[in-house]
Amino acid sequence: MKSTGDIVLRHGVTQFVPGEEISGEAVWMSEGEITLRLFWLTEGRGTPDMAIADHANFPGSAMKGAFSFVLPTMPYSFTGSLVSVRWMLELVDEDEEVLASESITVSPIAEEIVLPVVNTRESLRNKRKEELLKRGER
Amino acid sequence: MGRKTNEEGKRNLGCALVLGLGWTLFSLVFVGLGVMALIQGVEKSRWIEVPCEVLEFRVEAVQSSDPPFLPHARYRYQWEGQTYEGTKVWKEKEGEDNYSALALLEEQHRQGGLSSCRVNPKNPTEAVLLSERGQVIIGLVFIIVGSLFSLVGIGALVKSLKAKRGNNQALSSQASNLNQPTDLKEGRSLGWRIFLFALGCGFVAGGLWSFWKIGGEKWLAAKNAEQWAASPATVIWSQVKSHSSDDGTTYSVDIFYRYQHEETLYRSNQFNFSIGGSSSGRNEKEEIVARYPSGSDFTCYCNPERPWEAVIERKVGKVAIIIAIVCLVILAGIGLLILRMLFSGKPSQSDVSDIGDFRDFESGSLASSTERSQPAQTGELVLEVGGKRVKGLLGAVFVALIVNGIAYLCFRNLWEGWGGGVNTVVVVVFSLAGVGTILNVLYCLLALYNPKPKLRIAAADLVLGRELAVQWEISGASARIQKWSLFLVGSERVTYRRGTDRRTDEQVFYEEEIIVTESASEIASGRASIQIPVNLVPSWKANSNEIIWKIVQRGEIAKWPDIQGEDVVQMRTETL
Repeated sequence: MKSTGDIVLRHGVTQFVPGEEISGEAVWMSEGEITLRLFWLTEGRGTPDMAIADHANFPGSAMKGAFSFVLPTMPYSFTGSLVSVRWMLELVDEDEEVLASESITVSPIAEEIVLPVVNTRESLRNKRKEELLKRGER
Repeated sequence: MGRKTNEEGKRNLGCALVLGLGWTLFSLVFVGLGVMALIQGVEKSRWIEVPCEVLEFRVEAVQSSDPPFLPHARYRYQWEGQTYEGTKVWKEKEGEDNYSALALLEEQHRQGGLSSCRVNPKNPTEAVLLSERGQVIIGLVFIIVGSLFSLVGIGALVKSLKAKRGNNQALSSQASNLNQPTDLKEGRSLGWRIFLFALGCGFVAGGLWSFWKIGGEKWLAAKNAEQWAASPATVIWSQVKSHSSDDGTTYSVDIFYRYQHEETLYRSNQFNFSIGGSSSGRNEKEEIVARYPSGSDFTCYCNPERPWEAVIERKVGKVAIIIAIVCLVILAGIGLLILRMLFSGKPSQSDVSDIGDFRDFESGSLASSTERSQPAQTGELVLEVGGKRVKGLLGAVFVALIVNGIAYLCFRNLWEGWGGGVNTVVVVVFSLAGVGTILNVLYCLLALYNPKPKLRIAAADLVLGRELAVQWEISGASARIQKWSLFLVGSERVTYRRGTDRRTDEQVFYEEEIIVTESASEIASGRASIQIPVNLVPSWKANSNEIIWKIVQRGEIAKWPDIQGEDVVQMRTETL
């Protein structure tokens, strides 16, 4: 039987401010130890970074478990032109197979911050360099 | 953005796998060749050394032969009570290009030093006077170098396979532990870092060792030869030797001569202190050969302590100089690249900017990655640009010394008629680069005498949504500054690999002028403030991605280097 699961956030809220408590319930159909992780990761041009902020372990036989984490103050969820930071909750089994995952937003305005683009001489030069590289790759 | 990253990731993974496999197989070919050479060498060294009586040892010099110096020996040895006579000097080799090695053997024979040979225990009629250790050494070198390169390839393969397996797993499982932010693609284990460090140091040491063995020792020998005795000599033969290969034809000077030292006649073919070899440029060699025609008398220099050693010119051969420099540059260059790759995993703070006080991104524990973007900053921050100028000047002087040093060596070679067209191109390129580096030194020197701005900021003002006040004071001749500007800049900075390069890109998301003035009194000292927007991101730093805030200053000075400075500051948020 394929393992499955779900993460149910309290009141269905997915947007938070730093330092706020995030809570809810995880349910699963799987055996062995189950782990719920709160973590952030980067996406974009740079080599990806990530870190786990908190986690909770549950016995598989319980089939469900309540969780509550206090969100760290940083980093914020944001989208830039080179890098973005995403916060996630992930429910995994003993084999590190994902049973369920949920994206959340963490920022002082409880919304993802979108960084604008300012075209300085340097950034224009970088853009040109990138375009030339892309042409070269083709 | 996520999908694109995944696709790029898969493509990179495929490339890494193919590259890792190709690299490993290629390196293993070297290991295989090394093992074969080693087995053959060891096989030969199994021949047993027994005492022998050398009845004859002489060296025949044949100009038309390749190699030209052929040793002839006759020796008698005993094996299990039976006496045998042998004539073979080496198992494989027939002769030598360099007479010096054979001259030493002749001398040893003269002094009764040749007293043992090696016998094949399986066939005692087979014996050699001298063993060839070269094969064992070459085999070992191939095995060691090939193994090191194989390990790099295997490491890349293992890493790629791990990453591939990781692709099917939970994103969060790719964090190596719960307490450290992880660089997903480039997290390096301690063992891997130690290996890379050892490999880098090994290459640098190899480069330095080669430089010393090929260039340094020859230079020392040439220096010592200044004390050698002048001896009358006669040219036996003299010619320019051609060496053809796939890369074209190269030439070498081949002068064989006899000389007298304390009533004993010796022979030599050493022209200067070099490592043999040949190079392009026939004309120069023909000019040398023309100076020493066959049968002509001249003066050579003979080592009074080892009279079988002599030389015509007490100089280091240019081939040796070039090979020494090439070995140093290539090997040490590879080593430094490896070390750079190792230490560039976490960009040094000095990469970020020139002032250290505000870049104390300390942290350790997880909660972590958060706090490390928020170091405690209290009181007043003072930003100055002085130290950077001295560092810049020292760096410029260092680069200028290296580039002009190479240009000088190439120019000297050209002046002495060596090298031909290729050398002319190298001289032109390095001379132009040399002029550029000297101009850069002058520029840095002038910049050293620029007026020195000092900025003061209340650390408590560096908060999103607050008003930032900056005070400045410019010491020195501030009247020379025609335009003075200060900006607050926020940018994304990412580091990534493309092929073998490690690149850093930066994109500005906020840029606001604090002050732009042309008024002399305002330039000398003043105060200005701006409102920092609230809906942005404060300073934050992970392994390869960061948000940086900086104060940028520019002072335009007519006909003089401008004042330029960037100081990273820690922007915080009200909630922190």
